[in-house]
Amino acid sequence: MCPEDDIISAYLDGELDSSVSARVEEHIADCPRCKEKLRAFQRISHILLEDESPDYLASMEKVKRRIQISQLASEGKAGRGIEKNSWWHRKVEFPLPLAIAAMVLIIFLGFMVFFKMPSSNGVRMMRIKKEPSGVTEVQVSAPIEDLEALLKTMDNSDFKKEVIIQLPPKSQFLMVGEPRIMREAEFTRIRLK
Amino acid sequence: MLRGEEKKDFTFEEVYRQLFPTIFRISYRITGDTGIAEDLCHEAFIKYYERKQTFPSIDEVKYWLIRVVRNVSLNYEKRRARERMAFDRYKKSALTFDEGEEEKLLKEETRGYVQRALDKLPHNLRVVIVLKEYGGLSYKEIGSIIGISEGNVKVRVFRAREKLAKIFEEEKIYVS
Repeated sequence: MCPEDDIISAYLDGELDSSVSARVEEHIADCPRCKEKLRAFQRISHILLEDESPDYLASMEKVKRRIQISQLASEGKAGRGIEKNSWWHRKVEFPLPLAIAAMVLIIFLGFMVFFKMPSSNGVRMMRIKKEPSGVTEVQVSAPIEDLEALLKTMDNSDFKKEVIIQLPPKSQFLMVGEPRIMREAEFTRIRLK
Repeated sequence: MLRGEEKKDFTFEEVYRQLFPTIFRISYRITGDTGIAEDLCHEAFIKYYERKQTFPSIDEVKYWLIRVVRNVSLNYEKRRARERMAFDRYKKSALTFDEGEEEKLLKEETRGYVQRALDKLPHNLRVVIVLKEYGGLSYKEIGSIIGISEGNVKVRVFRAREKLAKIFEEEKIYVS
């Protein structure tokens, strides 16, 4: 006597007790009808599994960002602030060049604070350049009157750094007293601690 | 993460990385729509994060997430049924479709025949066959996730297969 079709379906899934499974297997081997039924169920499983599911990677990334945004928003609402490492290691991603620029700016501002650069009133223009070699170049445009203060600051500062002071090419200087700056338009000053 | 104070073995990121592919695949197969599957995953993982409960194993986390997906997908199913009814009424009364409806129809066309067949199953059968075939879960696991007996799971899996066989036959895809 043939088993019920749901038993054949469960047999395919390996969900029968071993003794029942052995009997069903034995029966199927000799019964064309049940063999065909089993084959049909197998075929359905194959059809389902062969169908390609959409790529999950893009969705994974998208949902991750949505979760992060939702979480930050709910934390903001709750006024809990952002606890370190409490959410996704608190990793906030932003473009590398922006990160470098921000880092350089922070270093420069730190420099300004700790080494007391000439008054910011005198700084008209500031440009920060990061060379491929890793050297960070901070260009400061300051009025001539502030050069004295700038040199004094560097003398007092406690760091090892190469400083290049580039004067405007058309600068003209009067030789008064002991010249601190020679006539050359550019000179390099290396201060070793 | 699995809230550091509760479980130190794995972080939220680890759970997410490990379980997202399965949860997404199940969500997609239940709903037949990538966007809605993403919504379900989003909701499930957010709920998981907010839940102050320890799980003895990563499998338990998986079952819990699947349970959420299944429950939320029920709401989606009801909404979809309402939309379908409204659309049918609209089709009868209007001569032309607006762009949104056309887009929906196009989406329906491009969706594979397998997904279209799954969509034709009633939600209770679809969930069970999806968990069996795409989730690789046992009858016992499926029963415990959706709160039915193993015997009931066995019957639903069988009925889903029978219905799919009929649907494939109508589509001229012969399984026997």
